[in-house]
Formats: sequence, structure tokens, C-alpha cells
Amino acid sequence: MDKKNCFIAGLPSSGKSTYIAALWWTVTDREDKIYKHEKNMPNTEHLDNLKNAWLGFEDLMRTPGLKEAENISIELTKVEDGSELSLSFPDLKGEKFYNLHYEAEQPALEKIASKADCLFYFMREFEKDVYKEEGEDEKQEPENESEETFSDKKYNKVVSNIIMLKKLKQMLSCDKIIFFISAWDTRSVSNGKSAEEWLKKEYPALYNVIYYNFKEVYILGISAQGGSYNAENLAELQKASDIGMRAYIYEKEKLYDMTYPLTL
Amino acid sequence: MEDNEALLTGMMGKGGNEQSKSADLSMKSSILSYEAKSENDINAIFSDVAPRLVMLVGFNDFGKSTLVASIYHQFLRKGEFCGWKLIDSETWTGFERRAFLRRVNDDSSMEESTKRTILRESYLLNMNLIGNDDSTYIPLVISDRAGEYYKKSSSVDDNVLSDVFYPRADHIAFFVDETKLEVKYFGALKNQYKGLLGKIQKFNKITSRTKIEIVFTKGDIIDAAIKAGEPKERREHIDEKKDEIKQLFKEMLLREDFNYIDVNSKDTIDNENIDGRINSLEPLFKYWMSDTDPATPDLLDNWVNKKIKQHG
Repeated sequence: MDKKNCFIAGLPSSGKSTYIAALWWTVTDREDKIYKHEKNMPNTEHLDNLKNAWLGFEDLMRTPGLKEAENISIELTKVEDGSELSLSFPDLKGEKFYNLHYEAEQPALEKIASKADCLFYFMREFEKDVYKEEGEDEKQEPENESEETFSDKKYNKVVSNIIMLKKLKQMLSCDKIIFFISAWDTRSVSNGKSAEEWLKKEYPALYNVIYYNFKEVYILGISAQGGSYNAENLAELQKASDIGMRAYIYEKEKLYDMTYPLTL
Repeated sequence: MEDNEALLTGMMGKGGNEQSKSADLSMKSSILSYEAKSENDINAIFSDVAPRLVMLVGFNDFGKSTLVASIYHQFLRKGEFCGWKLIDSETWTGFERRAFLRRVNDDSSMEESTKRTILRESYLLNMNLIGNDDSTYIPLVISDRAGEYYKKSSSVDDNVLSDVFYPRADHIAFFVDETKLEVKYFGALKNQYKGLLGKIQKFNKITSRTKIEIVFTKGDIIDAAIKAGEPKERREHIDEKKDEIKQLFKEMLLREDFNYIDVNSKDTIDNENIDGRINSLEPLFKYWMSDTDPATPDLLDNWVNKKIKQHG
């Protein structure tokens, strides 16, 4: 049986848990898929909680009670040829990764990362030139501008992602990255632009750092949530869920299910 | 550069041999902080490619950090500048700090002390650059020390004597703020440069291989004031003083091969090519990245590691 250790990382709210939820739904419930999950697992509580929240259109970033899981393992079978794959990955909070900016060493994180043979890195589109406190986008600006001082929380988010990638790279023993651009459904895909072309155009410095510092690079668009959860969208999302088309991965004008990255 | 080219062989885009992206370009595991570096940290920045060393020299508020931040911003927004791509840095935080200062520099309500690079701050900034044709790799190191340091250097021998950067620099850019060429400030500016250049020459700190630029900043502020109604004689006076400064450099450093470059404050703030004209940062940056005579091994001795010395 092949074994795959994926290290799933990204800043807070970048879509990591939503991907895991949609992946678990894909391998258990979706009819048409590349990999399926058949074998009995003694404890699927964490994955089921994520999936139920996803099926209930709950924002996974704001769902109370969802905890971290350092080591999730799923045994999968490839539908096409019956070959087996054992997949392991952690579901860690984005704050843990964000703390890499401040903490020189994080042994627990390093231990998990060192076993990985691939980095799954998630990024959500952000304003490029705005220096705001992480997670405090709605916070009011200080009344007295002269109080403003530089802190490492004031990184441009491009640089926040770059620094995190550099620190993760130090922990990893592999040189492979699958870079996911989350909420791909929020931008037009009709122009045929690949996720790689999009990243290169929108965040060229980030693209350069990824491209020149990892030996094996895949850049994919992902819509794990399927769209924004508002009253107008829910019926449409439910319909998409029913036919298995709510969550998808986009690469070069083609849509794939959540297990596609496991084939790369 | 043969070694640089060999290092980069095979980095020709996504379809090339993935394995050949050299490990030498990979991120360094020893660095956990991306602040600017001090001279003692310089070995941590490099793998085995000789760096391009650029030293910015100028007094308080002459625009050194703003210029660095503007070039950085250009790379961040476009990924490339003047035919070079930024592929990594070991001083991202150092750049971010300067980008922050550049942003608040435009805010007159900020106290002066918050706008400057402060004396005790580390000052070496690094950009790992690769030519747009992927054939040449140059780790650029910019020394952006506080203006206060150079003010002190104009009076204190030890400051100049112990400075390891002068003899090793490929480029030294001396900054002259044109608004400080007006009557009120000119005497002090000239005196400070006279003191600094005198000590540089006295201790023979600059070798002939080092290219020297004299960068005049903020000239467009004067021009804008004249356009708004101030007498044209103001510009004539400034130009006269610019010539005087040029002459001072020739006399003090006993050479004439200076490259004079004007940098507009508008370009350093907006960073866009306005009305299709060339961004005034471009000639300076292109000059920095043009071919230089490599530093000799003895110049790099005891500072950058042996591997780099071999490339000298």
C-alpha cells in the first residue's frame, strides 16, 4: 500500500479545514471520484464533525467546538485500479502557523512536518497593499496616527505567506508543494486562466518564491466550500451538493474532485 | 559568473528538469528571523554565489530607506524590476519595516524619530535576484545604515576606520537631498560630507573597482515649488550647489568617474511610471546590477565565507 503524508498548512481562514471536510465527504459520499474510502475506521469523529458542518453550510472558521487533530489517517482505494493509499495529515489551526512569525521553534509542528512528503498550502485572496492586523480587518484605525508603530503583525500579507512558506520549508524534508488558491468560485474562470497564471499575475513575488524554492510545484484553484453561504445561495449550493458538484478543484480549465491532489 | 551560470543551468521554466533547480538557491535553514542583518550575519545570507554589495551613504532623512522600500515595493507588486525577478530574501522583515516607514513618511503628523532607520538597527538587506532569462543569479545586499551613523562618521575616525563595507562594496551611492542644498542647510551638509569624504580618503577605504554614484533626491519638490510660483532663481541656486557638491567629491576622493543620478520623490512614493516616462529608480537600479569587477578574495577575507571567496 502506498503511503502519503500530507502537511496541510496556511494562514488563518485560508480554507484548510473546509478542504478536509470536502475531502472526507468526497471519499465517503460522492459517487464519481478518483479515490474512495471503504474500510472501517474506529474513530471518525473529527472528520464527521467537519463534514456535518460542511453539509450544514456552516462556516468552518467560525464553528465552535471544532478542535485540532494532529494526526488523521484515511485509507483510500483508487476507483480505477483498486490500488490502495494510506493518507495521513494534520488539521491544525491557522493561528499555529501564524505563530511561526514570532516563535523561533515549534517542535510539535516540526515533528509533524518532518514526516510529510508533500506540503498542501492554502491561500485565500487578499488585498495586496493593505497593512492590517491579521484577523482584525474590521478593527478601527487608531485615532491618533502618530501612535502607529511597526510590528511584525503589519506585514503585507504577501510577505506573511512568504515567511510562513520559508519557515515551513525549513521543517519539511520534502521539496514538493501543492499550492491551493481558495474560494476559486469567487473569480471568473471563463477566461481560461490557470491558477498558476492567476497567481503569477496577482502575486508575482509570492509566485517567484514558490517557483524558485520548491522543486516540485503544483498550483491549483479550489472551491471546497462551493460558494458563499448566504440565503440566496443556499438552494443552489444544496443542488450542487446533491449532484456532487459543490466542491471542486480547478486546473487548466478542468474540474476535479477533492482527491485529485493525491494523484499528483 | 561561470559558476553562477552553472548553478542555474536547467532553471529554464516549468518544463525544464525540476531536479536541477539547485539546492543552493533553497531557503537557508539557519535563519529564523528575516530582519535586516548586521555585518556579522552576512554569511548566513548566502550559499556560494558572490553577492553584489551596494552601500547607501547619506545623512538623516536623505531618502535612503525610502528608495530601498520603493525598489522593494516595485518587486513585491510586479515580481520583477529592470529585467530582474525577486525570488527570495533573507530580510523580508527588514524590507517590511522600511516599507512601513516609507508609508508613514508621507504622513506629516508622524514624529521625525519614528520615520528614520535608527542607529542601532541592523542595516544589511538582501534580495536574491534572477535575470528574467533565468540565466544569471545575483544575491544583492544593500547596506542601509542610519543617517546618524554617517553624521557621526564625518567627525569620528573610528567609525570610518572600522567600517567593513567601504572596501568591499561594488557600488557606493552617496545621497544628496536637494532640499538641503538651500542656503540655510548647505553649509552643514557640505561640512559633513567634507568630514566624511576626508576620512574615507585618509584611511583609503574605497578602491578603484568600486563604482560610485551621487544620487540627488527630492529635486522634484523644488521643481514643484517653482511651478507653484516660487522664483526660478531657487532652481538656479540649487543647480549651482549641486555642481559644488560634485566638485567636492572629485577633490576629496581624487577621482572623476562618478555616475550622477536624480531620483524623484514622486517615483519613490508612487512607484508608477507616470505618463509613460521612465521611473527614475530604474537607471540607478540598472547600474547597480550591471557588470562589476568582482571583489578580490583578500577583500572578502574574514567576512564572507570561503566558498564565496573562491568566486572572487
